[in-house]
Amino acid sequence: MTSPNRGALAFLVLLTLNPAWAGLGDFESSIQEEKVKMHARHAVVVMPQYSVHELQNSDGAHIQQYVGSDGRVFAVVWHTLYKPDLSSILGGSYPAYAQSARESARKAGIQRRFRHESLDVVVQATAHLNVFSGYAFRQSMLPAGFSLSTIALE
Amino acid sequence: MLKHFLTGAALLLALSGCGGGGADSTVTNITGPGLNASLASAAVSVPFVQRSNNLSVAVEAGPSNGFSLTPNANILYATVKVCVPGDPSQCQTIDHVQVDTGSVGLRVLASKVTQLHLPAVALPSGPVWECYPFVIGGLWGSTAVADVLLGAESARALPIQLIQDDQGAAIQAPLDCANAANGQILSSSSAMGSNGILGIGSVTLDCGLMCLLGNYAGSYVQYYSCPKEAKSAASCTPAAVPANIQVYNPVAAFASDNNGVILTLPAVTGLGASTASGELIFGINTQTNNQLSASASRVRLGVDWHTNPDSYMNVTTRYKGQTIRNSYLDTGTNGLFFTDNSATPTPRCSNSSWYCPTSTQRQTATIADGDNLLPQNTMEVQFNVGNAEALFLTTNAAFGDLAGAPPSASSTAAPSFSWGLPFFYGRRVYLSIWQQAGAVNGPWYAWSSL
Repeated sequence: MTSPNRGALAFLVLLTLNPAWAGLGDFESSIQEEKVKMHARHAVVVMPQYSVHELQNSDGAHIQQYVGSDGRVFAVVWHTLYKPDLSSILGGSYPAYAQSARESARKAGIQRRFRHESLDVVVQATAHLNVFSGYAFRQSMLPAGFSLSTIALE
Repeated sequence: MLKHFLTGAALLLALSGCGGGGADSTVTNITGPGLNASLASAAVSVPFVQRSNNLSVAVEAGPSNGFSLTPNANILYATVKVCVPGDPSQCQTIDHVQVDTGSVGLRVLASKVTQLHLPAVALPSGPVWECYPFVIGGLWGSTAVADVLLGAESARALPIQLIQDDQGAAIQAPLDCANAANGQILSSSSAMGSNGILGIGSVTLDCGLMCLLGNYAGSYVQYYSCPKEAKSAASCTPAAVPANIQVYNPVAAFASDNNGVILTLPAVTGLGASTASGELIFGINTQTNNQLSASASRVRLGVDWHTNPDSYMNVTTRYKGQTIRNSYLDTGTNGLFFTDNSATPTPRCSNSSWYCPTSTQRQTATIADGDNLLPQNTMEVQFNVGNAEALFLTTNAAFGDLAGAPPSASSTAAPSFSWGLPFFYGRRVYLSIWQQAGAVNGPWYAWSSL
């Protein structure tokens, strides 16, 4: 296992080497970078209060990014047949998520559900068989009246 | 997941048994024989006779785990035999492999098969290694071809994963895999709570199209090829791996009895059982001992990945007025885990996310088909929620009444419902495998009471 210090160092290096870093809290334009990275099909549904960008892989895996009227991503939903690289999807919220995931991962055996809650950021993830699903949102950025049931797994 | 270690304060609280409480204190009354009684309950079992298509399984303490002072709770184990392909004289027997219907593939600690020279799964670019991620945490190790014996059934030339638990010599996990595993690569029996995982879930492969194509964009790399003499992961490259050499569901690889499993475990009530022994039967409707009973309840898992992704490989549970699409039966989950957002929620333990009602609660939910099929199969299920702190005061390994909220879930968490091992106690549960006979259009679960 990598020591915490080495891990932190490696993480910083990754950030600087990875210009496609984009996601929650970032501007809509970053979705294009994510699209290229995923080799995905891209569709947009525009609604009065927000728009939904959907990136879909050839195996049907898809990631939805919810963009508010300020042009920034306020929520992300994924349904994939692989473990998505959340450093892209969570954008600037990733380091706090990674820290809490690292602490919770320090447990013996199989884990199938994980939830991270900070003051502003909520991430809920599940993995069962070969299916990974989850959602993340920034509380402070949700459009007024936005219902979480729109994105939350039921 | 583990039993939570009780702090001294919780222990005192749980043992105090009486006394009043202000607004901020809770008192947990433990019924039963009390302080000087044996902390272990009797062992329970269902009759087991070795046949051509079954395997003895047991919930017991298992290998000690390195993260907690308490033993493992509700982990189902089996013993598997791994042999050099085509040579029944060269085998090793591995005890305490966790039986997991929530994953696919046999994964055993590499140190358990060191006496065998198992051939590597190889691509022209070199032997295949795998980074197998859980939602958090994960496994790293090489892959190899073995004849796998489960009781009298055998999966010939099956690709399996050898979990890297040698910190010295072999290739250590690449950084991408350490990241995929959230910095927690499980690489010992104490980190695993087992000597391996026997993944016999509802599908055949442990990955999707991405691993066939070797296109890991936007994800973590799952399969690598590493040159034969490689000393570090620096020379490993992401690999496209054909389905026939990916880590594969061992049951689906049997020559017959390969369309699913039936798990029978004895009822476990009250404060639990020291151990619970049962039977894992291979095949459904292939022999006289695995016929689907006419009275069994049956529900289909969702398969509509495109329009109904929340239900994909899931069933729908309705609990206290909430509809939960992301729900499944899973022997690899050690309790019933659900959110209770009702007006009078099930009380939680003071120091953990387990539930701790003062007396055992009988609760009800329904389980229905994953997709909205008409007519829809809907089955009522009753279950007990016991006081987890009371259960963990015993030295038992099997708990029928163990339930909790998903880790870290607050009251705002979206509803979820995982039917872990307690669901299986006192039932005969059928779990089919998709694309095999009898489940060509999608996998299903069925169950009946013992």
